[in-house]
Amino acid sequence: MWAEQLLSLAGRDSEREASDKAWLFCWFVVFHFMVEEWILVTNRVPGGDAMTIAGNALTHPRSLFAYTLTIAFILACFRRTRRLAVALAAAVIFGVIAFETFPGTANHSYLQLVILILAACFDPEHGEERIVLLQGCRLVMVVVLFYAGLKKALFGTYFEGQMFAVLFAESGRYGALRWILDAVDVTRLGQLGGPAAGAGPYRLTSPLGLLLSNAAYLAEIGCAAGMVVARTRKLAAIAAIGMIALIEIFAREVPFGIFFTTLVLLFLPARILRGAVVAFVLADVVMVLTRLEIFPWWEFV
Amino acid sequence: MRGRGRFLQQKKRLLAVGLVLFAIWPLVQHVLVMRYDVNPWKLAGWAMYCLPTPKPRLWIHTLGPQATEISWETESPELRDAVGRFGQRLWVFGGLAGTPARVAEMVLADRPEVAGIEVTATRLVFEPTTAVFRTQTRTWTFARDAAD
Repeated sequence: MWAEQLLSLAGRDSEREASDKAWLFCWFVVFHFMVEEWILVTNRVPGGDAMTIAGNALTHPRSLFAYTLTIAFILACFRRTRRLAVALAAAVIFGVIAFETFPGTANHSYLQLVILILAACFDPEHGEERIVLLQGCRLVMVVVLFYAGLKKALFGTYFEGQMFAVLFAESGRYGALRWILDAVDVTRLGQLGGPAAGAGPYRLTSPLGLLLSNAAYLAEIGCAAGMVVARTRKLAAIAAIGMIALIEIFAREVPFGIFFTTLVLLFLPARILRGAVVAFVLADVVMVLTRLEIFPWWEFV
Repeated sequence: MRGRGRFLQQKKRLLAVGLVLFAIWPLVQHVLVMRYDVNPWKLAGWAMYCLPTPKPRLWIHTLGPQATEISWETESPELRDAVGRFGQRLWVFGGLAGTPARVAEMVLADRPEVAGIEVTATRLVFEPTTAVFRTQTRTWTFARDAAD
């Protein structure tokens, strides 16, 4: 059957592995999306001490979505209501897209919605369904990763480091890029500043910068392709995780990085996913404490 | 059990069809980007960080021998909201965003002495080959008779 063949591109877990992974994955994504939504709410309130920020966040109009995701998370902690939790979380994300962000919705919200819909449609507590659920989630991730790389190549903005140059020139947020640029590029791009009519050329001369710029799309396409071939699957997944970690050093979109890495981890044994989830939960807690200004502030979204 | 098995087979087929559509859509989105200036960062094309896409800026001028600029930023919240919404649509949908007819309607309703208005949107477009930004301008004209 062609559907089986297509799904088999993502590999097939044993019943034991699928059993260990599926519920943990569903639980974690609901937890992570809940944390992310609360962080988004706190981003909309004035700063101050932790109690002030928390109080403002808890009473902000946007917190309705966060409260609903909190209910979803509570439901996700129980086996019987886990699928309901995922469906509720999917409804929340859909609500955010439909009533708040569309048409300017960030792509990662669409990815969240697709994954949650998958998890709601396939029972993580049923043998064959959870195997199919994991296959579906892996293939969705592979498609996203492949196109992230292909589109970079199609637009041609990475062959001469053009995109890196613009990001570095326009915003201090990507200041870490200076580690891969030579002094000439740092000076020239600093003088160029952000986008303006006639401004440019925004391209790199630094060998390391050019190397990494071209490695970016090659790695994305290569890892995606490698993950659908049985022999290279695990290696490609490990390489993808390394690549995501490297990207996050510069982009610092940590919540998305955690979510996407969790999807990649579905290709690896359950024990690795378990260890990673522990680390990711801690990271989420740190992000919340940072947003409450209990820890020193740093940009991570 | 047999019923569940058949249902699962149907769900697998649906999933497979969904995955194929999910894999095709970014190509469709790419065509929309290239032909209609749709924002590559949006609409699930997975082209984030592929092309700098600054937001457009909007200006409103009255028509006539003494054309003046209307500072929409200092106008009513309703007009600011309408301009903001159109600007957002323009940023995401590009050439598919439609026209700022609603904005024109509101301005002309507030200014009965004005014969018409012109809405101008400028945006910076990045050219990968030259690595330079250039300006792209779009203009919509609304005369009072036509708008009414």
